[in-house]
Amino acid sequence: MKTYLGEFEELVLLTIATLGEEAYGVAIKDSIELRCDRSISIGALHSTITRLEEKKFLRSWVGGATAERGGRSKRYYEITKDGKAALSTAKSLRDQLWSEAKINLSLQK
Amino acid sequence: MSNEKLPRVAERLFDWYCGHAKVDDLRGDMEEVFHRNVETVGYRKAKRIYWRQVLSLIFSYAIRKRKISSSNHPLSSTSTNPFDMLGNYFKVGYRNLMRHRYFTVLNIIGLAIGMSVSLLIITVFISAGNYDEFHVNKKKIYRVLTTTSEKKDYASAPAILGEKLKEYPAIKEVIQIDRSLYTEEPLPKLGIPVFGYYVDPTFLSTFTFPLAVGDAKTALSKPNSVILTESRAKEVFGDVDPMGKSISINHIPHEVTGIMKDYPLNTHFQFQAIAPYDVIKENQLDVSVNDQWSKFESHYVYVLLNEGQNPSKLQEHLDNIAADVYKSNPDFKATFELQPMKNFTPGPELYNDIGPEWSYASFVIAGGIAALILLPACFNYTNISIARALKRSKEIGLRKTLGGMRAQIFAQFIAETVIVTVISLIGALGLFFLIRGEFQAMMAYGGSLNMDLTLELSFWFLVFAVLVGFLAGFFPALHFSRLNPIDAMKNNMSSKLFSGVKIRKALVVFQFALCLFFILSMVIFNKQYRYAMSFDLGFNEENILDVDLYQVNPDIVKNEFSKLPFVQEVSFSSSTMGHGVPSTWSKLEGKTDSLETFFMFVDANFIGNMDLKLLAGKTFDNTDKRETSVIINETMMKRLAFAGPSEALGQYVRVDTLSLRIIGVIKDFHFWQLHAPPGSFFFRSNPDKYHLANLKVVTNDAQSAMIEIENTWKRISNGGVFTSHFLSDATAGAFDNYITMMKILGSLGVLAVSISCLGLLGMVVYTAESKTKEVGIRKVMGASRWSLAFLLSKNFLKLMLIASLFALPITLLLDKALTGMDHYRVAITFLDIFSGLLIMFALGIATMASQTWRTASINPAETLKYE
Repeated sequence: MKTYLGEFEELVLLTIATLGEEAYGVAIKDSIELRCDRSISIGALHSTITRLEEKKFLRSWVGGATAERGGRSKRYYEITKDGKAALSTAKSLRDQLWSEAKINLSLQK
Repeated sequence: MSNEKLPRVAERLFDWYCGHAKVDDLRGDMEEVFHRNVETVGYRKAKRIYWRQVLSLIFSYAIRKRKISSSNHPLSSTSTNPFDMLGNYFKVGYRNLMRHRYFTVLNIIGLAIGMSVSLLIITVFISAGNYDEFHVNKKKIYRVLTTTSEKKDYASAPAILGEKLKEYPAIKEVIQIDRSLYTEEPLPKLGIPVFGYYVDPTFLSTFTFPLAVGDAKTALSKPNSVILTESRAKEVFGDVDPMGKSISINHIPHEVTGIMKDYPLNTHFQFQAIAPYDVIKENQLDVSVNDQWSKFESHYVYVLLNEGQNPSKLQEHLDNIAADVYKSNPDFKATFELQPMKNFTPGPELYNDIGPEWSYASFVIAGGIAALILLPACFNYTNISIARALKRSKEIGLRKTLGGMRAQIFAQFIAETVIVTVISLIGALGLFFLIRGEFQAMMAYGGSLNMDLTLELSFWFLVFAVLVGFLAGFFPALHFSRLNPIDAMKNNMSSKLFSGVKIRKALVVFQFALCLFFILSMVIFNKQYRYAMSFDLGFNEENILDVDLYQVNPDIVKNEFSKLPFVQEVSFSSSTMGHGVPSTWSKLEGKTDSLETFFMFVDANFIGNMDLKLLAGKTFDNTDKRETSVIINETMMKRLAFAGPSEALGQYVRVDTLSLRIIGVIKDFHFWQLHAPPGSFFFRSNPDKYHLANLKVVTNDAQSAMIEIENTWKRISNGGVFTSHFLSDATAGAFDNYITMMKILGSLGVLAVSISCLGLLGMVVYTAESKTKEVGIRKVMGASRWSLAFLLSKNFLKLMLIASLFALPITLLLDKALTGMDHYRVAITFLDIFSGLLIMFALGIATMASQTWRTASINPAETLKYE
């Protein structure tokens, strides 16, 4: 299986992982904006989430509604086994590149 | 939480764009962010952000994807339950069927009849597939097939191959089987034939045939032992314990060392006794056992592979053996092939089967016949459905206007058809139960089939019904789903509707051609049967009772039977007159040309008893105990180039080691069936060879005569079995194949005719229905009932005429083919064809008249008021 993960896709997957059981649209967006200090559009975020769902890296279910949302339900996301495998592949590739880097990548002088 | 309102335009835009797609969570997300923003950055900015979010989502892949998955699903609807729509199809389908009960019933009856034959074939196929399931080792058992260079595939294989395979390590057991075990003389009771196999002792450990009495390990280890099946042992020995008793097989005494439990009939083996394979080797019973690679008529090689062994390795080994062995033989080449047990039945067509075989070829033929019955029934449904498209076009137009997709309309009509076919399945099952017994009895090995309605079978029947639904419903569904909603709503469909007319006409023609074919072939067979029954075979077959002699001395038999007042004459023969005779090679003494000559052993009285005509010479002399003379027939006389009967007398004929004097010439008679003219034949005379006593019985009370004859026989034979048959019955029995053929053709014909008539009825009803107004107007203008009825049916009459044109040449071809079967044929006349046509037209016209006459009789005031 092709397990290519884009940078933003990886970011979204990891963020969903950090949020645990509270991973729904707004929370994911907030978390990414807070950590990366950048503004992301809701359309881009959901497009990415949709693609990750198509790749079976994510699964989702509809959860409870709250008054502050106008009584509308939340959709929660969770990483699947395939998603975990893709993440770990990406990580090991990165680790390998780090360890084999010919120049010193350390920022300390 | 703020109380500010969301920007309404943005909200509306988003809802409008998303349609049915499920975006509740996105709306919630945006609203949550909006309310938070109102508090942190103010209402105006929050509104701007909301707008930006709506736009970014509208142009995003996420919404596009959600829209696609919500709309393109044939089961989709705005409700959350995807099966609602399917439920709706069934509901609408049911209502439709109920509203048009007449057509529904027609369709269901037609399809039920059409499906019934297919159910039989499916049952046989499934049942054949379940053969040999009871063998524990089934997965590891293979047999070796032999393919000769003439491209003939045999189930048998050379004996020496079996010996050779015993050295191969991957094989756990090699089981050699020879099917030449046959005996008619198993004492103590005569007349019960026993047949079976000579097998290696490993037969019992490889195949699952448990013994009721005896030890499977040792039962076949004694040299002349035999194991009988439970039921056959009971028939031969009665209540006496058969263990240790002796029976004679091929003139060699065998000791019964085991009784096998009666095995399930659904196996490709068929036997009543097994004896050790070594018996053949020691007694040279079978030529193929001599180390020969080219003789394997009755010999089979089975192997049991070790656990986990790959058969392809063994196949390679077999290929090598074949290449090696046949290398030096220029006359004969063969290859061997390993066949796993699961492929035995149904399997490829093979020569020399060991028992019941269900070849794919026979299933293809049977399936073709079933299709000939099933397809017309499907055509009927298709025909009627498309013809009635006009009535349903409004519904379809409305569905399409309200957003019904093509796939949905298609699914709806398929669902409707499936309802019909599943209901038809119930009717078909009824017919299936009705004809099952007869069908099973007609089939060779039919008794070994399990034709009970098992769970597995029910499942396949249901699958079949659904498939038939797809088949019958495909074209109507395609037709309806293609309708243009505007045309459909406006009833402006004339162009579309009439596009199917040609196909419909072709279907009607095909159906009637098929019917005519069945009817005419019935007529032909019936005629040939009557002809054959009344054919003068050249000998007397009335009042002759053949009694099996078994081992009883003919002289005593003759003495005792002659005492009975109603027995006029007693003669002896080696076989039943007119029912297959053996042949040998003979030549005129001193000449070299051999002639294939058929023969019977008879005594002096036989010729008189059978009313055979001697052209010259005299009959045998009963006092002669040695074989010295022959009586030849006319054909043989001509082939031996004698100018006349008297010239042949006194000449000598050489047969094997004997030199026999021609003492008579007899007029030709039919010593075999009518498939060919009589060949060269002579009567020989040898008391040792007699099998039958031919009693001429003349009495008014046949029943008591039979009882007396039987009592006399019991006395002579010390209570032996009494087997007898009248010669005339035997002759009639020889024509059983005609009767079977007529039964098959007759029942198929009845089915085909009923289906065609139902189809015709449907079409006529539809035509009459759609023309009521026209009929009314014509009637007002002065048309008579007759002319109106003719008007409504004339198109169908035309189609039937065309069908006759197609069917006639096919039937003539069939007639030609039959000529190959029988030499003596009765020619079909114009009258036969005419009567066949008459039957079909009578049925067709009766069907049509029932409807057209009614329509034509309706009071025009009613029909014209109707709209």
